[in-house]
Amino acid sequence: MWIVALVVVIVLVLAIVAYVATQPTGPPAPPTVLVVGTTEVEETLDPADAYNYFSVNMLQNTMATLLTYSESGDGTLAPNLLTEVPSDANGGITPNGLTYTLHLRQDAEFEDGTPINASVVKFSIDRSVKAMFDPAANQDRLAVPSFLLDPIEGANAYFTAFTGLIDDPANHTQAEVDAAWANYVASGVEVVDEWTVEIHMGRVWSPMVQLLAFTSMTPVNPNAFTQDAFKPAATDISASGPFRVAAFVPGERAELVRNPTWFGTPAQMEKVVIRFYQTGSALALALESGEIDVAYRNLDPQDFNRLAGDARFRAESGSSPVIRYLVFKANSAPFDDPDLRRALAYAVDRGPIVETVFLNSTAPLYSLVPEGMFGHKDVFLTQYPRNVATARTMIEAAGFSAANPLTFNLWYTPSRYGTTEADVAQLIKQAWEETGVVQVTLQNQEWGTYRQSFRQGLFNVFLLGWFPDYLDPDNYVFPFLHCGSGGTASFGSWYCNNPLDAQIELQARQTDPAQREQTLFGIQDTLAADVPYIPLWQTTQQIVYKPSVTGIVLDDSQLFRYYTLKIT
Amino acid sequence: MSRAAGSLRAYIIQRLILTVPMVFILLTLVFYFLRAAPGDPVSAILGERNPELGDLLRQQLGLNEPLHVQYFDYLRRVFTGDMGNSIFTGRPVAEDIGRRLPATVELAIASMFVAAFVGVILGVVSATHRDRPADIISRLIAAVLYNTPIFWFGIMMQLIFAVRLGWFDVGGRLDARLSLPPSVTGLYTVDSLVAGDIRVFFDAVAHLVLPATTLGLVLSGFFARMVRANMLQTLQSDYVEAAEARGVRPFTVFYRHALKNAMVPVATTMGLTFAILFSGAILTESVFSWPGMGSYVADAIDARDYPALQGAVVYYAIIIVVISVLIDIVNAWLDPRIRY
Repeated sequence: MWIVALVVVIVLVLAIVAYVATQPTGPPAPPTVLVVGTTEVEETLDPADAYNYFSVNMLQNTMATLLTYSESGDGTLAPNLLTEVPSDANGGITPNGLTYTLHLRQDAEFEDGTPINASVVKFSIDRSVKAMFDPAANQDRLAVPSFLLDPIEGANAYFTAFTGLIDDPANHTQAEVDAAWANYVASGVEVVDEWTVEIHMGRVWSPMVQLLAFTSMTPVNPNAFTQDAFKPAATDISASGPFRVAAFVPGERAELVRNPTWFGTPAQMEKVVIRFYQTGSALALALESGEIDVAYRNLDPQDFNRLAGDARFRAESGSSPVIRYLVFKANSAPFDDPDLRRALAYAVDRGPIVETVFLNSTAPLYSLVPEGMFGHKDVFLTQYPRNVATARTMIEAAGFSAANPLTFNLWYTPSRYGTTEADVAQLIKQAWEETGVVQVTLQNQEWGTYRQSFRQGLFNVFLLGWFPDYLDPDNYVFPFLHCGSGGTASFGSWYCNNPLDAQIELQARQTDPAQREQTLFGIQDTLAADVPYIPLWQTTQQIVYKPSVTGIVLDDSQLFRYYTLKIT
Repeated sequence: MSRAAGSLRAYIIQRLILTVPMVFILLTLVFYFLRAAPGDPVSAILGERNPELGDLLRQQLGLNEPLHVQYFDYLRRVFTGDMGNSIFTGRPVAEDIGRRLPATVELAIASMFVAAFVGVILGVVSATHRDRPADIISRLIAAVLYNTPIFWFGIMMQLIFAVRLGWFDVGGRLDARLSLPPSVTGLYTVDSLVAGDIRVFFDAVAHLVLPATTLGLVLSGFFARMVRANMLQTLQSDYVEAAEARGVRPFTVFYRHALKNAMVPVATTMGLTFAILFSGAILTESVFSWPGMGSYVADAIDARDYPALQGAVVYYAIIIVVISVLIDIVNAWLDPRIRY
């Protein structure tokens, strides 16, 4: 026994001596690694499949997108793999809006030297379309974002053929699907020459140019990706952007190292490590302990404010297109009565939510189209300035009173949107109950159950949030308000307004900005008139970092650029 | 071969055979409970958008098949070693578990070491100093540890030892500025030694200190109470009295005779606790951002990721069976009177 103890002691002493001996001596070398902490989670680094924030952001830093967002921070599109942003003026979009001509730069290549030419672009877009509905392309999962490519010529017919085969195999055949696919391949994306591609649209769809900056259209290396399988390992994606992925341990870290084949300005740091944390408080503590250099997404409001006041750090807030809102189930009592929805819009009070819960780190929102985006109009600000008396009168007119109050549950989910949700729900309840004729009971469910419940129509009023995929007002009106596509049902609203559907389709076809803006204003006026949703607030991006870190850009695009970061 | 060894071997074989129906029952229960719970993986993937994809996605995931068809397909996969792909990560479940397991194993072993060490010492001190100040203090410490919320305790440890004193990192398994050791076992402590990288080894050990101490100390409170209770019972046994009457030294009575016998039920409890730790410590992993099985299962539950959860259950069943058998072997060693 004593001999064992002695051996253990000797081993420990030797180990400590060895450790001390291996410690670096002399003045500290300049840092070569920058560490960014986040609470985000990765899902996949396949552009055809990536649809959550972190996966998309990793791709934006490792794969060259066709277009990107200007580093000026104003959210405007800029060339990347394309030499110019297609427009009517430069001939990149035909006058009928049905053909997009993409001119590729000729010096872009993947890690292995494969050039990114027109064939690669066609392969990649076709792959994204095919991956959506072909079981052989993914054994266990469909590519979710590919539905965005539906407006491309032939894509919708292919999707329809495939859906028909799945839903009604007795009356549809695989041959129909194959024919539809062949038609798509022949008509959708055309290789004009080695460096020019044309995308033919099945219908005019103005947001297409924004989609060119989204990762689902990002070219992938045919040597690393096939049409028959998804998700190569993160380290095998064959980078074409500023970084390549050197190591990836899910839930723990991602290591990005400078990609020497990137055509643009080289990344400032040779290596950036992204550390994953499971809670906002752990992220804040990690910054305080010096474990990380940058804390980005998602600090709790009180931690952000505390760190912002700490001289050891710098803090910045940037605009964000993420919005939060209330949803009414508009096709059943009591909220099939628009007057009740309007009354609650009068009574809701955004001020305390923004000031008390978020400590002014968010901004009140008065439309579904976020502030700062083309087509935004503050319709709820003008139409529903807070007025408890008016709300009370309207609710009483609907037959309710102090003795017989309008009684309902307000649902929220406690962790999906951070730790603040219960406080938000409490403030909304208080604001509505100020009318004296409303009685609200707060209820919550975990996200896994919550999303199922609202889609099954089990909630009359509930809180929800929207993380956009492409930065166009269409992304804030079509999914929310278009009844015919099933969008409103998927939001748990079931609001239907056929003339509004037509207006939403119209704005997507309009290529003249002034005309489209007017249509968008009209759509938002209808939104305010019918109140299937109450917009509440617009989030901000927040970041806290050491003063020795430079190169941080926060803008509407939510493109967090690891390649501009530097630590000295 | 002795009769004892023969009976133990027969018992182990019997236990291993019983594993099959046990795993089968577990798999069946998990399969049906998961599908009875509200929510499904399709809405988890699609979120609020694109409802027309729902049916198609269900078709591809096999979720629109009759339940019994899904069930038999699932059993067929499990018994052919194919646990399927995680719906959420898209990776094979076995691969996901293989990546998470080493983190859990490291944390479980380190925590158990702390828990056993502190628990046994507190329990023995308490029992051997019954109703004296040392006993009262030991019991107080054990009670406080046992009742401490692990979430709060972990954050306090981080605040004091990571933020205030700067001795350790807040979370994770390794300093982000250090390169990962070449993967051999997935255990950073072992892989760093295999690679001869003593700096990474010490860093990996340092990263274990806070989570293992937090989890271990909370568990030690329970162990201390068990050790004390069993020790006191053993000290009242006839053979202890007889030994004392024959003039055997108190030290020998306590530590050679009483403690060893008192440890039989404690070892069983420790073993089962160890097995549970292997399934991941969700709260500890969450506080210390430890990428182990606990957080994997929590995420899988949130996403209604059926294959991931079912795969995790297979893994748990195997762990529980293996450790149960090991407990029986240890008990037989501790108490030669035990026959199976």
